[in-house]
Amino acid sequence: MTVVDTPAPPESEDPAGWILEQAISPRRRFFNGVASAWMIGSLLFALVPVVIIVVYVVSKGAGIVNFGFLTKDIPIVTQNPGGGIGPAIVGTLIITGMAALMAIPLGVLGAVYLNEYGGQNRVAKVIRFMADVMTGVPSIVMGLFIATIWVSSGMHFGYSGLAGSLALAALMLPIVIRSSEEMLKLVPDDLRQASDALGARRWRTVTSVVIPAALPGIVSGAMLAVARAAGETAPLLFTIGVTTGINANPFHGTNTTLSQEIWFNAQTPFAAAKDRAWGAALTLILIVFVFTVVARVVSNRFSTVRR
Amino acid sequence: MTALAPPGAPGAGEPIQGTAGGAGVDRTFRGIAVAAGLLVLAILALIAYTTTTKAWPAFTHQGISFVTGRNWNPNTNSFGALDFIYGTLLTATIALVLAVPASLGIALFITELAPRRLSNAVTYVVDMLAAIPSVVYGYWALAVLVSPATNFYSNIANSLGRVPGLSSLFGGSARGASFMTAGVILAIMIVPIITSLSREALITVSQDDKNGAIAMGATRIEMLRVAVFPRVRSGLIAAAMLGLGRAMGETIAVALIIGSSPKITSHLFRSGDTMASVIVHQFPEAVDIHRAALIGLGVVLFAITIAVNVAARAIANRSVLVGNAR
Amino acid sequence: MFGLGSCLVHFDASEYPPFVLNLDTDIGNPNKTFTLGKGTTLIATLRSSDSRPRRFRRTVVALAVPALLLAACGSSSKSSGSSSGSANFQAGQGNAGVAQAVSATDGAIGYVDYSDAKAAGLKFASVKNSSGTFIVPSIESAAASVASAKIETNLTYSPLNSSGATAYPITSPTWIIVYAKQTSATQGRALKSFLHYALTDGQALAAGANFAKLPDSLAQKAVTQLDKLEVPGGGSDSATLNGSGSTFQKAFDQVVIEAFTKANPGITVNYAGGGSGKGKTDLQTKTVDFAGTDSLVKPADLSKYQGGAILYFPLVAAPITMSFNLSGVDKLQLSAATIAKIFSGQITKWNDAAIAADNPGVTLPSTGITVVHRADASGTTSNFTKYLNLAAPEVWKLGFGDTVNWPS
Repeated sequence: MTVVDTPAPPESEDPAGWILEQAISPRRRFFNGVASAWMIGSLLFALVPVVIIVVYVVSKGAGIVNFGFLTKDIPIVTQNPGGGIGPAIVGTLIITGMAALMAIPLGVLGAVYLNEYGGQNRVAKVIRFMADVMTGVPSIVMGLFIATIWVSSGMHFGYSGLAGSLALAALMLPIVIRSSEEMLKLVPDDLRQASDALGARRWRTVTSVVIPAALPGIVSGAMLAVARAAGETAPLLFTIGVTTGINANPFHGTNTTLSQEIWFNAQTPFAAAKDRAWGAALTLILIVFVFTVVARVVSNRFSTVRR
Repeated sequence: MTALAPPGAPGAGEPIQGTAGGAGVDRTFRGIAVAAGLLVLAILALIAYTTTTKAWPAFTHQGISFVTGRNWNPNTNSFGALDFIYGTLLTATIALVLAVPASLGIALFITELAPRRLSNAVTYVVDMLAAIPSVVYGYWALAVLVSPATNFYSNIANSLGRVPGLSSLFGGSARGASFMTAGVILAIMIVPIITSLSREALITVSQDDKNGAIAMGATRIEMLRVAVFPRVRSGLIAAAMLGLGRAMGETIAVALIIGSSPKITSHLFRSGDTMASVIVHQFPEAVDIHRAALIGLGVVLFAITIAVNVAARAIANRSVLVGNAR
Repeated sequence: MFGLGSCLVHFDASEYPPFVLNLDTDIGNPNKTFTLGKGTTLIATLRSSDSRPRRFRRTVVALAVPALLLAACGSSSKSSGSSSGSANFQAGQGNAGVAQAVSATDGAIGYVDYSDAKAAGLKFASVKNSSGTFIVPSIESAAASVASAKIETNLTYSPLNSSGATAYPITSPTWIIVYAKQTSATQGRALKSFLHYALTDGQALAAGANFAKLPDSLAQKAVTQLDKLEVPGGGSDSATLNGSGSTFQKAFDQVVIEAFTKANPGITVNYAGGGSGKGKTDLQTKTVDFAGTDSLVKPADLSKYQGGAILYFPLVAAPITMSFNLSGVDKLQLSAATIAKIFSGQITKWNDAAIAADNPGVTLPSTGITVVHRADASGTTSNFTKYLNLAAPEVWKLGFGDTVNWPS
């Protein structure tokens, strides 16, 4: 064992910094600096686009968003100014909400099965494998899938908000399963063993100990899936049709969403339509962001792990 | 001994039964979990089955040249998708190469470097990135990035592009609507999910392990390399795989800025095409076998995702430290 | 376990024979020599062996070798750009995307439908029709094109390259197709009423939406064809009609729907657009009540329509403009052969002899041509390429259809 003899730091210098300089080679110090630079640089990589894009959307959309815009019906003739996007807001909330209600509980329960009960058995391996595969599927394929088996099927369900929800749920499900499973994996076994030692049954352990410990992570993953679903257009193009008036019934009749209206309106050369598109974009970003923030705050209240 | 045992408790040596109702609830809950698992399996299998059967006519018509052929011409019923496969893989690779270090850096910043308030603020900023719809990313990039990018890429092509090793990447003609732009936008779009999962994984590493490394004299990055990364490897890889899945499957944003000019080239600044964007561009007018071929592209993406995930799991399983993960 | 991995890397314009490299035996083999030219196709083969570390190493080598060769090969010889003389092609999303790209680039030309081109404020070229006159795209010239086209008994027709003296040769038709036999009394009545409106009062709205209305004789025939629509008796007055299909006619459909629903408050009509292919497929599966389409149903597909026979109702027509952006030039004349050469990349500069021949007396700059085409499949592309195929078959070799393999 070599003894490193470090002399005492001189009076004038900060002792900690001086020891750092003496004890750590320049090469190591350089890499340490690189690491800090990397972290801060990454921050800029995320921060700069957000600010630029949000400022851009706000500058283009803020002028048109007002109470009337948020509540009035969509004009029948796209190029006409006036009207609003009320039906699209209702559509987004209902369709994305239903998709979340279908995909999140099922996904979390599926992840619970995979991690707590299934482990490495055959069925669990197959489910994990298929969920992995589905995460890479283009959103449009999910829309085509639902269009084939639901909308245009022999039962002639036709366009509806529900069909759109099904497509979005199909999109969200693999993401929720995979991320929830990872979060459940991260809960230390100590907690489970302690709960077992206290005599709790498996279900009690899972519901009272494991899920609350993993809750912020699960909610995080679920919110990302919801944000993606709310912003998707392609799966809806083949499943929900269009409407210019509010349709609060997701089971019958065509519907529309903010993402779809952005897509339709941005593709025209008419100024009124483009304004509407950016107004809808701003509205959608705000709705999703507020929803995410609320979800995080609520989940932090119910989680057991201090962050 | 008997004074301590509560009434009705089992004596020494007998297994703890718990309440009689607990067993039933346990079975029920287990049943629910298993049912959920099976339902998920059924849904995923149904998706795979339906899309494959819808795509089958195109596969039988085209044979293996569906994935090896380069001529995609619906007017002559020829469907060779190699150019699109290349475009998907290239843009997804660019996106991962940019996003994974950035997301990891942000996650580390949140967990290591930043004080509590700042890390919460950064989390919300990343959430904001996730809240932006994909169609907005596409139209914003189209309106704001494409024209300046053309000049920017031209400058790089004329400078770095003349260096012998790099000319194959940066040379050639420069377009704003190109693989590179699509890759950059995809990278921005997948940062939230990779950051979020990485952050969750990093938080679970116990401070004791980190302190041990610091006590041994490690600098910050050495501490990360020794005490943190080995434990969270599986979580990080899962995060990257989810990000990759999104990158390969992103439809509308890429369709608007990829340039729609299918080709296989190493030049990053040229226009190309991807499978997902071809589907969204051609599906509205497609009938019969053309439709089947487009759905077939989706099926090919299944296969690619399988291959990538198998590779990723192989890498993940090579890790030595298991730690608290199962 | 036996596995064969192969890595295929192909660079542009390969005229060199492929070179096969067997990584198991060729690496380090002094007897194996190879030459690589720019654009050589490299095929590397690898057989997976027993041990894992060896396989991993081989995989790394298998990927590194092509990567190094890629770097060493250098850039491919073909670098397109207006400076080097080969044509510059760009894609735009939708008619608006093409219009936007054209107005943003000096020296650009693209095909844009009339209403979108007007809204974007673009300049259009006059096109020489088959009678030899250069015609400006307008509602009148489009109407003349429809009037001089031959109408079939089922009311289908093609106004492309029509021979009328004042006809604009690149005019796009569009129809609404429905089932002859309606199964629902409510829907059927509403549909008949809607179609009747579109073919009578609705025609007056066409000009305002930048479409050419049908010639009176054709409109009359269409109204007469309405009698063939069998609707069961009864049914209520309030109904919702759903349609999808051609986006080309969407603007006209919307003004008709607005006026019609104002006059018939109990009826709601939703037209989703989404492309002629989508409309046809939706109608096949009876997901919609009517479909808009710019092209005819292929005879082989007629059996797919689950509701039986279909009827074509012509709706409106509109020109497909040759929109351009060229500083210093306000009026441009183009013949079919010139257009075909431009859009297949054979002409790359504005002062080319062929363009000059079409525009005597006009000074054309030497700017490079940027051709803007559609990124998405579209009936507009289909009609435009069909026109080129009809009017300049000896020059136009790229075929026709809603999507075409444009040069890059």
